[in-house]
Amino acid sequence: MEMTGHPVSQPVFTASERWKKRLPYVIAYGVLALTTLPVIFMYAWLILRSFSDKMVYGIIPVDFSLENWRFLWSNIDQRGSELPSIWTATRNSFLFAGTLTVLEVMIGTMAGYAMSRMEFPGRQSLLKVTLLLHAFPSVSLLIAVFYILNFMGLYDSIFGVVLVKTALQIPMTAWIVKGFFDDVPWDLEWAGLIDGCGRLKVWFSIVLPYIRPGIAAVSIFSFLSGWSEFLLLYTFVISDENITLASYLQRLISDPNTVNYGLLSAVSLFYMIPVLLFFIFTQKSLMQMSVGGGKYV
Amino acid sequence: MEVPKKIFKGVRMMKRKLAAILALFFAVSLVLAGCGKKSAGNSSDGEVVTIEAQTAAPETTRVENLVKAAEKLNEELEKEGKKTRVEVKTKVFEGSWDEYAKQFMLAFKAKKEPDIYATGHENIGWLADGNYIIPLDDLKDSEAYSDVFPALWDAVTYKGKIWGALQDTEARPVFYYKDALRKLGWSEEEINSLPEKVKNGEFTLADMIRTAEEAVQKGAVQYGIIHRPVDGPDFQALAYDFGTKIYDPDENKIVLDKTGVKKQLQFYADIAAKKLIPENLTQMEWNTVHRTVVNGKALFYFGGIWNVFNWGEDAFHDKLGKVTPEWVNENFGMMLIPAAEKGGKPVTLSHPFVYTVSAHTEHPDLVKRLLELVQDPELQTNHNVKTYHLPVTKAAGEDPEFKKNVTLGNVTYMLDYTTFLPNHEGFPKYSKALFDAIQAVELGKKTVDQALKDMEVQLKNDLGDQLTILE
Amino acid sequence: MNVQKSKWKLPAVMLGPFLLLILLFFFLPVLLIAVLAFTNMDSAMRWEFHGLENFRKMIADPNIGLILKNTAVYVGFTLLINVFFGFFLSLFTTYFIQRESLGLFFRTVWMLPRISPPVVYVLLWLWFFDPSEYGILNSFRSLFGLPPEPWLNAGPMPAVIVANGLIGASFGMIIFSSAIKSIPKERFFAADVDGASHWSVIKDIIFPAIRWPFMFVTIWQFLSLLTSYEYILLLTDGGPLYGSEVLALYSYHKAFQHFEFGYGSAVSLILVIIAVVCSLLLWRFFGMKRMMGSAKIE
Repeated sequence: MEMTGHPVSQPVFTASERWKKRLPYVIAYGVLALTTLPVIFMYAWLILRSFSDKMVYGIIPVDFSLENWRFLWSNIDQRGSELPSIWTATRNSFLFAGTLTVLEVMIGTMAGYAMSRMEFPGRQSLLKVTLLLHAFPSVSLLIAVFYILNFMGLYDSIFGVVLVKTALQIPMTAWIVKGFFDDVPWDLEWAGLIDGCGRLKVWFSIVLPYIRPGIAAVSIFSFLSGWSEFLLLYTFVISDENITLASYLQRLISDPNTVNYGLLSAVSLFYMIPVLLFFIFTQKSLMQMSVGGGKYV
Repeated sequence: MEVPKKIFKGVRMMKRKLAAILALFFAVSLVLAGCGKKSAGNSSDGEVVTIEAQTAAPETTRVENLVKAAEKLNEELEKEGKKTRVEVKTKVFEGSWDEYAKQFMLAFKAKKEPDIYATGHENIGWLADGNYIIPLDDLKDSEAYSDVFPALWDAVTYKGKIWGALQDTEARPVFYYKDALRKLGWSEEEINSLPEKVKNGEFTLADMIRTAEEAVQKGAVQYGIIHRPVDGPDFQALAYDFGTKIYDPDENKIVLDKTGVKKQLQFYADIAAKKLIPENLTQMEWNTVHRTVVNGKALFYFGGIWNVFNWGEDAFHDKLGKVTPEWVNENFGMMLIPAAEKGGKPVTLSHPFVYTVSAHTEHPDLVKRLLELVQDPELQTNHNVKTYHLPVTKAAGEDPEFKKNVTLGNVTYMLDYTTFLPNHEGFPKYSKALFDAIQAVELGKKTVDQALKDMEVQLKNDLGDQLTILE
Repeated sequence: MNVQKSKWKLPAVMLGPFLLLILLFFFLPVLLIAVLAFTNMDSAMRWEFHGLENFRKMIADPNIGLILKNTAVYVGFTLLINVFFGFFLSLFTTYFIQRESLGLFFRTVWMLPRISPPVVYVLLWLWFFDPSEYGILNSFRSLFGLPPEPWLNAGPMPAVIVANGLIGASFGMIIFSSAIKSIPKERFFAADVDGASHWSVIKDIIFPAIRWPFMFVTIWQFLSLLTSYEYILLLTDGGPLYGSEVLALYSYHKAFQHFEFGYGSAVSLILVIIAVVCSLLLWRFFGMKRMMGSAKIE
């Protein structure tokens, strides 16, 4: 049980003072609960919807059935054509998101380190430009990116899309990593250098592990974006074997006249579970910055 | 300062784990990359020619028919003593029409497009202009296409040439709820002869509005008229009904016929003012529209015959759930859109689907032969009955299996009264501007004159010199 | 001489892949877009130079005024929610809530909008705003005897702002939470011993700690909002009658629904210019340059 603001030894308070101290907590809990309730409600509905065949008044499930979850063990038949197995889509999503994460972590940590530690001409402007890159909307870059991919012969290839997605994300990744590197005490590296390690070795074996929470943070963001990526794959990959979970979901709703909401809910939940788990497990790292020696204020 | 030993041990562990993971991912990504790059679709090693055909979901029969046609082609080739065999590879696209077009454009530029691209006829304009497809004039003279319903050729003509092989068509009748008319005191004979009266111009648009008003006033139905809630071809049917010009084929320009469009907008403004339609019809979802119609809450519905298929696939009816075509025919009648004036000609609109041939194809002759063979009445009927479309040739219309279908058989006559969208590339902009105008007058946000004026400004901006204005 | 060379080598290696990627897939496309903006490329994917025609068209466009207004309103209000509500969430889940597991629970719940597939998230909102009596909001209203309202038609902008705000808030929430958690506990103990009120703790301890992330989040979210269109596309598609159409969505519509790539690129270009100018202003306003500091090197 971690405590943030609670002192160990408490000076004596009068009743009203105690109340005054407690009031903000009450307000905090209250407001938090109020705003969080609709969100919880919506997702609870999603869960309910996936386990029932029909809903009365839109909110109350009529029965409990695993019918909507049948995609886990059989291929869905939709208006006469069979959809590919959900496991193929899952595997492809994993591969895509995974490769993306690895690439981003590698390139991001290298670039972030350079931006944090090294002095080189144009450093200030590079930092500025990197932040500003986020101003460019992916939508308008689509056609231009197509020409470039085509020129490189990477149209209709997952790897091509991985490269593009990585490029679009690494500015933010590098910035986050830079933030973490900024906190690493210089003495650590200095000691390593004194011991005779080269700069690169110091980076890899001493500094990198120090920013494990930073790598965790970057990993979750990259994995999340890779997992939910849809538009780029949709535009640049046209072969059927490369379906990902996002496209699978898209297929379920492609005809607005015949959407099976129960099935859609179930598949969506299935889609969200891996990321949710990932998020929960990396929470600790996300919250944990370098202990001691922090230079925040 | 000493580097704590603990960090070093952790580092070694982490290094090993990292290395392992990296190696795995690299291997995987290499494999992925290898799988990702596809070889080009058309291979011609002398013996087997692969022809790729693509259509959009859910009517997969459009390309499946080509596979069957290929079987016949191979039989013929064998008889002719030729060595080549044809294999048709099919692709089905799922997504919006815009995405379907975009994918084709990009694939074409990357030379990975299909040989045969099935799409709505109105796309011929930009496909031809962009040199994406080849003209197919010789198909018109071929035997397989000799008994095509003559009016349909208009749909595939652009700049004087034929660009698409007609694949199927449909009709957009007005459904009417028989029970509502009974409540108004109509006899069975009157109810069932309504389509005939519409056909010979006895029952006009004004009569339709009057009947709808009566029905709502007397409480027979909740809504007098329902139409589609989103942008679409159907709205132009009314334009043609009023004799509005939309397209000038000689100049190849879109026409804004202000007098005609005004009449069109007035119709929608009227039915909204008389409260014949739901208040926010243009913002409703299809599900709600289907439910309203199937449960008999509306008298007239500007629909499409494939709705019969929709109503059988999903449970829209409150009590019956999914309804059979027989049930639909018992409870609903289908008629053309009534003429604007007495004695005038009623209309409907069709949106034929066509096969277009890529300009990059390496086997145009084999492809053309395939397109001739795919017109076989049996293949057409198989598709039509499954997906609720109408045949393009008279022979397919005579097919006994087709005639057996209770819905389709009844509406084939509508093809004699049908109209089409123009093939001009800029038409979608016209369609959207018109829909925006209709939405504005129905919601009461603009008067008809205001909406028309705004539409003119919008079109001038969107189409520039591709627009002609008729006062 | 040798020092100069070795000074370049390491940065070059570290930055190499990064620079290569952003050059290829960012700078090059942007240049291409800038060029395309002056052409009339359409579905035929051929182009001819058109000069300033596209820009003239934009000024004459009857909807452009409304679109610009919508964009300003959307970005302004959603940014407020993203940054301030995000901070609020982080404050409550890290400072006020004592139990770590409870804080984690709330943080996870608030991550749900962000990790849901956009289609599904929007579906949930559509159900929330459903104009029939079965929509959540309307069911609520019926409890008080009020008639159902067509929310998305009457108020598309608020709907869009709220839906996007909830997603954006989670970004700030994470960044601010990490920042707050990294404040050394001793300061809180000291403050409590001194009998400081919550407000002064927040003001004197927490605020300074989050100054840097605050600026970062503000600029970042500002840019994100300016260029985002996906959720609006799914929720209202810019309707009704351009009521919720923003510049980014407009560019998308023109480029991919009407296949006017040239014109769409021109709109994007304007968007980019606005974005860059505004961020430079924000940058100056926050004094980013000072915050970045110089590198710590040899």
